[in-house]
Amino acid sequence: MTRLHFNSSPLNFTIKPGDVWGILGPNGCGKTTLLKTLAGLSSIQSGDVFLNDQSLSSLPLKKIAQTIGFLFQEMQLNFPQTVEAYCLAARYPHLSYFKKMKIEDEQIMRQALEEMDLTSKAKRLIRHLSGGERRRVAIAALLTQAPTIYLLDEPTNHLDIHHQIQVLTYLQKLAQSKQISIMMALHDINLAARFCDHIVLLYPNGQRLQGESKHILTAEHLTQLYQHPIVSTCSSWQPLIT
Amino acid sequence: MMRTSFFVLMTMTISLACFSILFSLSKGSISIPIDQLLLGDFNTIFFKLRLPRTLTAFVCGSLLALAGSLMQLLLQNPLADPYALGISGGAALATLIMMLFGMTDHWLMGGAWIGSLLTIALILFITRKQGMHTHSLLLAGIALACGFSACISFILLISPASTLHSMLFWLSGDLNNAHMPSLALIILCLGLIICLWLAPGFNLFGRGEQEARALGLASEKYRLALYLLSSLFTATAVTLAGCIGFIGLIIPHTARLLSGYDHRIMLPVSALLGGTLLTIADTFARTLFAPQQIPVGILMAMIGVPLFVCLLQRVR
Repeated sequence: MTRLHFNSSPLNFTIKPGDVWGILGPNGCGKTTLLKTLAGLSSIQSGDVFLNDQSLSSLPLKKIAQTIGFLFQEMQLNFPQTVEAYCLAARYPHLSYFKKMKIEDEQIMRQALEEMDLTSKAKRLIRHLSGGERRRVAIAALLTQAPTIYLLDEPTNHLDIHHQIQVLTYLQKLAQSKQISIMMALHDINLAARFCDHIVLLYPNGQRLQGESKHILTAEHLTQLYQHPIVSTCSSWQPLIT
Repeated sequence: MMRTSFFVLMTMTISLACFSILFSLSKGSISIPIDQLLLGDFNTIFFKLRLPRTLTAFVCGSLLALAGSLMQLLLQNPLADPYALGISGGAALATLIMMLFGMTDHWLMGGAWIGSLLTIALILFITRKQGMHTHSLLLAGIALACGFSACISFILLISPASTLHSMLFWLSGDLNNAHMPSLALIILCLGLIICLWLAPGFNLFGRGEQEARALGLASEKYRLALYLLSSLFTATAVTLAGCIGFIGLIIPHTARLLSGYDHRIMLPVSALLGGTLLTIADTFARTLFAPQQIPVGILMAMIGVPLFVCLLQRVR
């Protein structure tokens, strides 16, 4: 069971197994920076990040990558790669000293491609795929990496509405069944309300608010956050925001 | 399936390499039938001239192809070539200074080697405060290359006519003074083994340094390894044969088209194809207008330009 604890004023939270956290905020408020700090990819100015009571900065990179997986906003493709080669390379943190892939690594990759409806595109070059398909390739690579904590930077980018729901439903089920933890930056408040049980709001003025979704996702908080009038159409805490 | 295609590809490239070496050994001002290569009649030609030159051409081509593959990865740019960071400029400047002072043969090789190594060290020194980031390496390399180019032009301007011809010959890429490339062969073999060891990490490095780091790769160490390996390969190749263009640019592309992106396969294929191409080009360079020889660098450009244009047409 892996816990990720973030301790930096004014934010202080622990992501426990099975949790799904959402980060909401306007452009430039620091969603990506927060996620990168949690993954050990950005240095922290004050405070620390702990993985099971051990400071992230004291752990080897490979050990971190076995536990924490990061989905970047955009895929960087400088050289032509096939879908399966790209995903299989994500097994790197689990490779032995001799760096040899095993049959199990390939099976995990095939399973991930199947979950993301990409089996038929396994041999295709990624640059020939659409934006949405590339996004699913990146998520399949993350599933192949098989971490226990998923940090997702706008996972629904480029995805159509069907795939947005399909991908997030799959990840939510994964969190419940395999006790993994998820933290994701989102722009869609409705998706955050539907899939996240905890929310962090990052205000442009540096103020932060965190807690359970039902307490945080109110029209008042969100209107203040986005500086735009937001109305909830439902009386329950799980609203559809117009 | 992957393993089958790997073996087919390796068999094909090794066969091509063997063919090019035999072709080069048997062709020249005097043609030697392949079955008589080792016979007493042709012993001197074979051991003193053909074998050192053929091996030098093959090793030099392999080194340039490997250097190009690694440099493209380091700079995250498929259009980079081994000379992008000014190492060849340092070697050329040192060699031309040696020529200006009337040095020949081993002095020239030693000069080129020291010039390359000094340039590598200078770039590392200049970029140390920026953490040797890719952009700093590139900018420092381009700036030094411009400086070297100006110095080379100046030396060419002030050189007496008697040395000018050999200077231009060297700058165009020349295998005329080839010796047995023992040190280069050791560097190639050891370098290739290290490359294959690091290849799974290279596969991740191409995704960008931050993404590679998120997958557990110490990207700063790999960046340094890529820089040192590609620089060492370039320095060795330039020392052997001057500045031969295009191999380091087109062969990595061809290897990627044939073998895909996996560097465990792509790097050996690249080395074999690079060696094959330069060996064949050198054979033509010394036989087309025999007994006159043309610089192999010029012939490589003549072959390389149309080949590269064809490749660009194929890549969609």
